[in-house]
Amino acid sequence: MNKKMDAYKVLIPSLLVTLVGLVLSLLQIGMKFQAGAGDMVSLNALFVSIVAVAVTSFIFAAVRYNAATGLVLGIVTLHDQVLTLAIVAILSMILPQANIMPIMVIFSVAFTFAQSLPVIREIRDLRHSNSIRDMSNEMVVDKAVKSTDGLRIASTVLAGLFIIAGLFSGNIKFVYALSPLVVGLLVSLYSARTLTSKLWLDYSPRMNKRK
Amino acid sequence: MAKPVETIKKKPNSKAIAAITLAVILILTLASVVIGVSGMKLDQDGLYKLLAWIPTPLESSSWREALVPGTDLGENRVQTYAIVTEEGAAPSEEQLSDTVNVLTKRLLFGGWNSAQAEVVEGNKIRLSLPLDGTHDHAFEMLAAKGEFALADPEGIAFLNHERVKQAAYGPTPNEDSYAISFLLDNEGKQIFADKTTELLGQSISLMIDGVAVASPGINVPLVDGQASLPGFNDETSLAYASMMQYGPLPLDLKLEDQSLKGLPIFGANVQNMLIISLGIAVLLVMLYALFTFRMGGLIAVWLMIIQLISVHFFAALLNSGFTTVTLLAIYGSFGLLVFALMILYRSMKRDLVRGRAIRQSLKEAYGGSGKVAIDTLVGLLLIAVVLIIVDQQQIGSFMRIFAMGLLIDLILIGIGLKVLLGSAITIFGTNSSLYTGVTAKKEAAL
Repeated sequence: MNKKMDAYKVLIPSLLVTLVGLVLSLLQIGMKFQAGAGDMVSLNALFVSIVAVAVTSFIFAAVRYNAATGLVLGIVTLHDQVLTLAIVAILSMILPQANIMPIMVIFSVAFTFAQSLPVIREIRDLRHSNSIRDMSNEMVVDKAVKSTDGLRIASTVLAGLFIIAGLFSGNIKFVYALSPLVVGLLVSLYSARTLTSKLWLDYSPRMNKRK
Repeated sequence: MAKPVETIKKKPNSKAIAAITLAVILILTLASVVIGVSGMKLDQDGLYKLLAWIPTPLESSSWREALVPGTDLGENRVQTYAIVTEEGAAPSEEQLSDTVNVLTKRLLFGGWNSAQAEVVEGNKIRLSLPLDGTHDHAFEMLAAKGEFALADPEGIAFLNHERVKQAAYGPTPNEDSYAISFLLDNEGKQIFADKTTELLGQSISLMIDGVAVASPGINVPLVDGQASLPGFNDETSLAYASMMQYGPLPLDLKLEDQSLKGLPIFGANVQNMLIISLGIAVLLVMLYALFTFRMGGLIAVWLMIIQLISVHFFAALLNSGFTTVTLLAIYGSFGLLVFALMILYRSMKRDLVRGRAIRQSLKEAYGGSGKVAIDTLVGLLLIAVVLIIVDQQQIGSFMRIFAMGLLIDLILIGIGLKVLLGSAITIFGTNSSLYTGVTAKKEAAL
């Protein structure tokens, strides 16, 4: 019961932010675009793509590893995409978006994979190489998150280097256009640190027990 | 008694093979860099040339013909249209917005992903279009009202765009003209079948804004709700197909002004600034790799150069243009290659510190934590392929280039790194400090 609460506790702030983003967008206060750009954006196509990304992530991880891992990666991917979009919708009130916003949001799945997959992999490796008596699931998850911190920071610095290169190259409209990348990067960093491990802790032991 | 002849089998000189392998790949890489930057004449008269495809700030380079700058990063054609209304009545905001919406869809339909339509001065519409060699007349056609209808010989319309589910255009099989094809919905299919049966032996007209632009004869009833009409050129087929697909503009437009010196949307000098700043970022990554992993870093730098040359080449081949989206695909996949190399090299370094041999460390890197790198690339490639199928517009177009980059990354990680690093180890020896910065002191301490 406690483990389940942990995963959902992490999701609550994200759900709240998503709700705020949705409400602001529906009220046409949020999801603002630069002149003419809004007409070039198909939000329906973006929503369909987000669902496709989440489903594909689930199927990939389920086939590659197991159903529990698939569920974790699918949920994390969906969480990151939706939260990124919600934050972009809120931020667009001061940083009006360009017509390439959907592509920027979808691209953030690359950040999700680069940040969360190493954590998932490390958890699985630690679990396989240590008995439950020697190392509880909580200990495995803690160690996995800590031992992949260095890699996640290095990936973030790498991505940040190129985003900064872009930010210094164009005018203010370009900065606005690149802002979803910054949001996606930070969201993926946050979810890899807090959500991925909690979800694994919740789903993996339960689903593996059923076998 | 005859003695058996002893044949001495000559072992292939592994060092020589490794040296030849590295030399060949090095020559190919250098040749690609030179041709990629400067282009190459394919005949003496210079009639045929391989364009440069690697962006540089040089104005004289031909890369801008291969990777045509979009309106976001390059100078663009700006067309300003005035609204023509009856009795000079002001158009409503909704009408203006809907007009921009349909115009945008028509431009995207024609593949001008970086084109932009916007309302300016409250009652005019401005199109920002890339300078990709398209004749300005093509854009004027797209800005026509575009009332599509199929009509009988008496000019009475029996079908309009509302019954069209999908329209397309393309060269005919013998490539002597362009054809427009359309697919009707169920109601349209029935109407079309009835009408073509009724008009057997006569003709129907494709009407645009009340003018018959084609009048094909009906030889057989068309009962499957689709047809293809040849005899158009590339401009007219695109314009008419987009009108069939998206319907007419709510407002009549008239070209008022045109300029070929529109500034890039993202800043006057954004093109050169981006090339330089991204180049600096790449250089910093390469320097880090060289200083941290030495010979191993040199191999990593080599792979990065191959990746950038290849992805830029395929981006040019796919006519993706020099746009923010193209650069995101190229440098996004570059970043993932660096991420994969980082994982593999960190794993190797950990094993070398524990006293493992370099070859064994490389093998273990692929078998152990290196799988994360492959999984990341494969997973993203799968997503890219799915999105190419699911989305036919912006996102799908981006994913085509991104998928190409990911595929190149997988080949370089799966094969390229093993070949280059393996050959380097064969030639230069197994001293671990050469490859991962583990110093001789540290090694001796083990």
